[in-house]
Amino acid sequence: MKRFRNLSISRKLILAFLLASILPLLIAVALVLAYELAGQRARIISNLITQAEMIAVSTRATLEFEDPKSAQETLATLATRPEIHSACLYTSDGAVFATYIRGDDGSFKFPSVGEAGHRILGDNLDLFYPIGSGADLVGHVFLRVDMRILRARLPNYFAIVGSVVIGLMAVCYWMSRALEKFISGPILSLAETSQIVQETRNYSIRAQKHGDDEIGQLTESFNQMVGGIEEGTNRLLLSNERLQAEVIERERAEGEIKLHSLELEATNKELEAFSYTISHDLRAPLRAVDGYIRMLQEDYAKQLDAEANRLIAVVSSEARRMGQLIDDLLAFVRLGRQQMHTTVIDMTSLARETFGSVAGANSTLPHRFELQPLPPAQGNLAMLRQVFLNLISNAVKFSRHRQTPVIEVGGWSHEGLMTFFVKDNGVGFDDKYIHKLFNVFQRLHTEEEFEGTGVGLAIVQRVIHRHGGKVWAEGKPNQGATFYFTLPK
Amino acid sequence: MNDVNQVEVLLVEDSPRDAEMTSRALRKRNLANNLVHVKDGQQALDWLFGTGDYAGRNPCDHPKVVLLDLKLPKVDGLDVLRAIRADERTRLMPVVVLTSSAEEQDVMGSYKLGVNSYIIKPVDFDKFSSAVAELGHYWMLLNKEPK
Repeated sequence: MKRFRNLSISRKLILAFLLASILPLLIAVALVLAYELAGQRARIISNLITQAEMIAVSTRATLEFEDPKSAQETLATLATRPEIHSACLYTSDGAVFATYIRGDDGSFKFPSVGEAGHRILGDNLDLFYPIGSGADLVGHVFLRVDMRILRARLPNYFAIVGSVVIGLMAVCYWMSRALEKFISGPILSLAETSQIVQETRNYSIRAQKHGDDEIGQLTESFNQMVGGIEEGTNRLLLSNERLQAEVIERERAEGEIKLHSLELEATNKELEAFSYTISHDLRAPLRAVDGYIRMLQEDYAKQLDAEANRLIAVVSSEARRMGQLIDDLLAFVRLGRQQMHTTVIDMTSLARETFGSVAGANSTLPHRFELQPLPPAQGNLAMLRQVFLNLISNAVKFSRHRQTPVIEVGGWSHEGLMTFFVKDNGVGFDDKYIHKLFNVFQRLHTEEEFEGTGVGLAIVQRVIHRHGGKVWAEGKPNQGATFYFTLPK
Repeated sequence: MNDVNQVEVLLVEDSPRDAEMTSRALRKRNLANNLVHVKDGQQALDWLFGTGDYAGRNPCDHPKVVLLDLKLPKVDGLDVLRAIRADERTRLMPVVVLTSSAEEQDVMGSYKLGVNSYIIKPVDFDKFSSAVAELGHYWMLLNKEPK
């Protein structure tokens, strides 16, 4: 069974066809043969009875007239019938009247009269036929047929049947070969196509459909499946291509970013050069101020009183402070690009020191400084010092016309956010200019009212933004101003 | 050439303040007895080549040193330097750039044009005075100029 399962489909089909056609043929042949044999026997018996009848009719008179010679002659005519082995006439009392034996079988012994009818004993068919009946019975005819002579014809018969069967088998084989192609052909072509698809991974190949039968449906299903795979593969290829395009696009964007960052770097360098130039142009008059005041000191110190010398000293110190501010500004511009080194800062001390340095430059400062304990903060010390310096200087500046100027510095920590403020009771500002407050070189007062360049708050904002914090202000004209800034932990 | 009338310093400086501080620093060391101050690049060229306001001046009479600012009205300091080096009569003249600019392109440009020295003006008056006095001392007393 396993060997049958591993046979190719065409072999299986041919085998199935052959079995399906030969088996009925063989059965039919067997049936025909059986029928034929049975018919032959019946015919032989019938012929034999006719023969016996004829002999009975033609020998009745010889028996009645006791003429065995004539009877013997009549029996001799049986020689024309080769299948008849022997014949015998019996008288009514059972005595042998005349005999016939084919050939010279002298040892043959005729049987005694039996019952009328035929019987088969081995190779012999014996028949007893009565001549007349009842009181009119004159004797019996005995005939023996040698069945072997009849059977001798059978091999011939079998040969004919066999050759017919073989011929039919050949026809069946040829037809099954032809028919098999109709069935196995499409299957084999489908199998071949699937093999090609599997080997070449070419999913655009389709199997050829040969009809609308189950194989046709199978072919269609196969084609649909391959189509599905092709579609999936194409989709995959497409998405691959898209991914590749995305990669290229990303690379391009990265290149662009690199270009932009180069441009930015160039811009930064330009800005730096610009700042440097500006700072040098700012220094030139400063150098003159310092230079001329020193010349005045050198040439006229002896002719001036103490107050004049104090004023000269203030001018000199202011010039140097401005030089310092320019340096700080320059340093700050550079810091904008550099890494910011941060430490934990004691903001209370920083605010106190800063107020001290502002007050130190203005020894006659009438301001009251109120400092609350401040939470420590994480940040760049130089930059945050600049923030306090600018805010406190501003507070001092804008409250100096007050009877009792008060500067208040405070702060608190809330949910990881430090908030600080510098408050004064000075001239304040109008709310409608609040958006201009932190712009560079933006001033809300004339130089006559309050000196200044308008850089201070811009610096404060940049520093605080750089620290990730926010800066804002509250104020009303003549009711003071409060500047807030936050620093994240 | 130790002519008492020889101009020892040609100061090319548009800022009267810087000019005064420079000449004062030189004077304190007695180095500015014969100092000529011109206020822009064109005046400098006129003086050097005896043209314009200075027609008739002999271009071959060299100062001991030219103190040249770079940021000048009319004709830029680097162009003045280029003209000095391009002319056979002034080619070997000692030129010291005295400027506020520390920009690399100015420094490189000056040296490429054959400047003898490049000094950045210090902001601090003391440092400025001593720098000017030292360069005056060097170029006017120590340096040996070609005949």
